[in-house]
Amino acid sequence: MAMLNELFGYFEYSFVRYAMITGVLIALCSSLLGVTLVLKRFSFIGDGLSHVAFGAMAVAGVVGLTNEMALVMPITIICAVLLLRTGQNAKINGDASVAMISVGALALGYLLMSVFSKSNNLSGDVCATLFGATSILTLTAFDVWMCVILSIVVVAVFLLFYNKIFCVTFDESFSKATGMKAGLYNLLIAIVIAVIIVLAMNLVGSLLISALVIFPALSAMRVFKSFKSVTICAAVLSVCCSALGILISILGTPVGPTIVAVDIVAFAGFSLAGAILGGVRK
Amino acid sequence: MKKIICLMLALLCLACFVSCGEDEPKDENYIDLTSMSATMIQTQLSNMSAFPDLFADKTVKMQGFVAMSEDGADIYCVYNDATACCTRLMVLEWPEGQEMPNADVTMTVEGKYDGSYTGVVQDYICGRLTDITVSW
Repeated sequence: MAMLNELFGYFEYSFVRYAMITGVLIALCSSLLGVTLVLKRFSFIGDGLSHVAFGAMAVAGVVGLTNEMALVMPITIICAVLLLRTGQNAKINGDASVAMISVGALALGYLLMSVFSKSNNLSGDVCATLFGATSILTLTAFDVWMCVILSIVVVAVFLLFYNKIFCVTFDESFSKATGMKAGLYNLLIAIVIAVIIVLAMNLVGSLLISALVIFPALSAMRVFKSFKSVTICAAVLSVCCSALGILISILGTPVGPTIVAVDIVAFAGFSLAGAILGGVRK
Repeated sequence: MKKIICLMLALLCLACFVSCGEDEPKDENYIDLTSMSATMIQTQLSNMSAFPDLFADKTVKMQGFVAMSEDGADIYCVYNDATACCTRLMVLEWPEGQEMPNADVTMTVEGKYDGSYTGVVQDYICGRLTDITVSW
């Protein structure tokens, strides 16, 4: 009871409410595309793109841009497009190109920050970018509205192109054969993924973003078998885990790792439920 | 499928409109960090550094360990996190005649936040408290 009172007390602060709204929206967006990414075997793309965003953020910091998003977003989108396109190229396999861009951007980003940074607290900045730290709790009203608008765009794109995304996810060759512009929809998916990654960096940091993308989808796949039911379950689960993670973290643990820990517990629960249900079905 | 997601989106938008607001806790001029969780303390101290004007002349109560500058002229109240990368410092305007604690002793300090101060100590952005009372 005392713990609940403490939580309600914290919700009097606007930054706590902002964190909850933003966290839930990011979780919803990341889980929607998570199913597609897992099925397309691009689970690790979130990690690669988040490291690209880290590198871009370092460049923005060095250049002295006040609005980092203006540089981070386009660079991440370009890399997302390159990664998804290169994934179809036989010369460099999908996982190799993700790994290459991931470590390259991370190393260059840290190098630039170390050599040219004008920040007074480099270790704090790196920690916040990699693990989120309290980034989600220090958002301004502008950041929140930006997140709300981008989230609405992401969900709208997913709804409008649901059937196309479904086709491209499961059988790209067949969708091309039927005259669908698969390349265009892959480009759309890449752009949406990049937007989600940049948004999610505030929530869990660049090292933990993949968890937001893959855990809800994988958990839902333990129990449900159709694309539609997996997507709905992943979205609901992701939102619940994120909200619970933020609530627990407000009581004294780091935000990003707590959300991921809740996702892991949910995955274990769904795996158990899937095993039991699988046994019953047989 | 579309109906469910539209409904979810509508609920989220509604929650955004209901939740967004600038109202802060009732006692706006007293910030007791000693009664807050570690996450909330880090956030409040971070906000104080980022937006010192908003916290000007508010009474802040915090707990941290004692640290001194190399020349002994300045005394700080230090709040550490687990990885020490998000350490926060508060410069204390030490009252004349007040006994000095040893370094690394945990103390509780209460004082007025100086909204005009933006300093950097050993790579950490910090704030300053004036008119302080201390206990350890």
